[in-house]
Amino acid sequence: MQRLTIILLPLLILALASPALALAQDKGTIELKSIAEVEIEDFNSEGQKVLKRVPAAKVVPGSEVIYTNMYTNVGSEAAAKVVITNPIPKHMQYLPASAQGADMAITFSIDGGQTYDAPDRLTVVQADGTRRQATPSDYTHIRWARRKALDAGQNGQVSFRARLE
Amino acid sequence: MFGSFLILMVLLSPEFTLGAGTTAGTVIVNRATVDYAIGADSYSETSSSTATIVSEVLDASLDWQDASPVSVSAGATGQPLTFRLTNTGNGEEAFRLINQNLLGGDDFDPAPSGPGIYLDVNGNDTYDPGTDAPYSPGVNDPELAADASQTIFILSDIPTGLTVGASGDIRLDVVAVSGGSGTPGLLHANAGDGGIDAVDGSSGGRTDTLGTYVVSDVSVDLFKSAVVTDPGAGSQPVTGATITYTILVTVSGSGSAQNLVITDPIPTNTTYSPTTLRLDAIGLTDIADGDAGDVSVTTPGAVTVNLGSVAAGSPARAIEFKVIID
Repeated sequence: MQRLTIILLPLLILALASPALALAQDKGTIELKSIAEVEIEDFNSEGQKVLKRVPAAKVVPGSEVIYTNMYTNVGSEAAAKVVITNPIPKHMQYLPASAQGADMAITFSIDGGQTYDAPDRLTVVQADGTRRQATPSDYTHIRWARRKALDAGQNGQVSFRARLE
Repeated sequence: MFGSFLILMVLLSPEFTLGAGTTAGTVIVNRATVDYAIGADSYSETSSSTATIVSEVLDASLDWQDASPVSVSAGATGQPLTFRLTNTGNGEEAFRLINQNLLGGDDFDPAPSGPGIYLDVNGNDTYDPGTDAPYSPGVNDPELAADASQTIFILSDIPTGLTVGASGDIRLDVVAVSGGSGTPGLLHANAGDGGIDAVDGSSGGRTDTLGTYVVSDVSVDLFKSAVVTDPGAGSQPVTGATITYTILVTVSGSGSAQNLVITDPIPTNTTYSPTTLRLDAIGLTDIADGDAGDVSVTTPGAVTVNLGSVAAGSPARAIEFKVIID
């Protein structure tokens, strides 16, 4: 009980000390939900082999995980300049050409999210000073920039695949 | 000293990615953010995070370390074969060891000597009687971190009455205790590190390797000679005279002499003349290092030269050193 009080107190102070933060969260109207899934082989009612997606609760090295971010504008006004950023999780390697998203301009970062560009424009400086084309294992972040406004009530999703090292 | 300790800490960090892949039990977290504008105001939201746990993969590799069939004589006891087990999985795992000595397709069945299996305790990859630990299944199954290795010895008694050239095989079976079904991909729920799932890897969580003994009638002959040179350029064994000893080592018969170590005490009333130890006319240092010989290190008061495995019929090896008469 005593310990709980000690933990709660700083949280309370933090909440009180940052009313601006609390306010910004109140006013936001886009909800973002992330899920992680893996594909498993299954059979449909006709006995055909199909791939079924199940939550990626447990994986082994080499497993392919599908990450999906679902976004919804739950407010009453349209949202502009919608940009979704997803750091590639630690120990995961992005799978080439797997990033998807309707009406989205997709770019990648190889510098921890400081700058973004199209895959063919990303280069890495090698030990001997020369540059080489960046490979998916160099990617640190993926960014989806929506080309048009997200109207009230509208939703969409972006996704990518990565392999566990 | 401090620096090397810090480096070790980094290597032991559970987040480290090994040859076998991401360490078992690692939690892979994903979280995205969305930035947008409504009117003139900018907003940023972060998604709740997804958490995926890395299961323990059970894999092992096993190598027979003796380069060729180990030469034994009929009736010999406690003859070692050397194996090396590596945990190629991504978690900490104990392995069950089984000595399969009753195999077909060979000329004789080597019998387990004592418990038959011993674990290399001091890490020198050489069987040391009394030091290396007898193995008992379920009691001291070697527990290995990911990528870690253990040297294992199988000690056998060789039957009597065998003819030269007869061979006997041993198969060492290694099975991951958390699974080891032999079927890659088979899931063992909650059996892994800290109660996470374990999955048999590409090896099926088990492996085995053969080792072979061959009966030979190898014999080792030593021929030692001495030449005295006195201070007056004569050959009188007087105080201050130098004695040059030469030991010729000849291996004959069939097969090869394993772990052949020659030890020769420095005679009393003489003193070893530093840096005079030579093997086949090439100088060896007196200290214990990368070369084959040392003086008064392996055995105090003696010259020791480790010739390793010497095949019968190979050219004689010559060990030479000098002493001075006190």
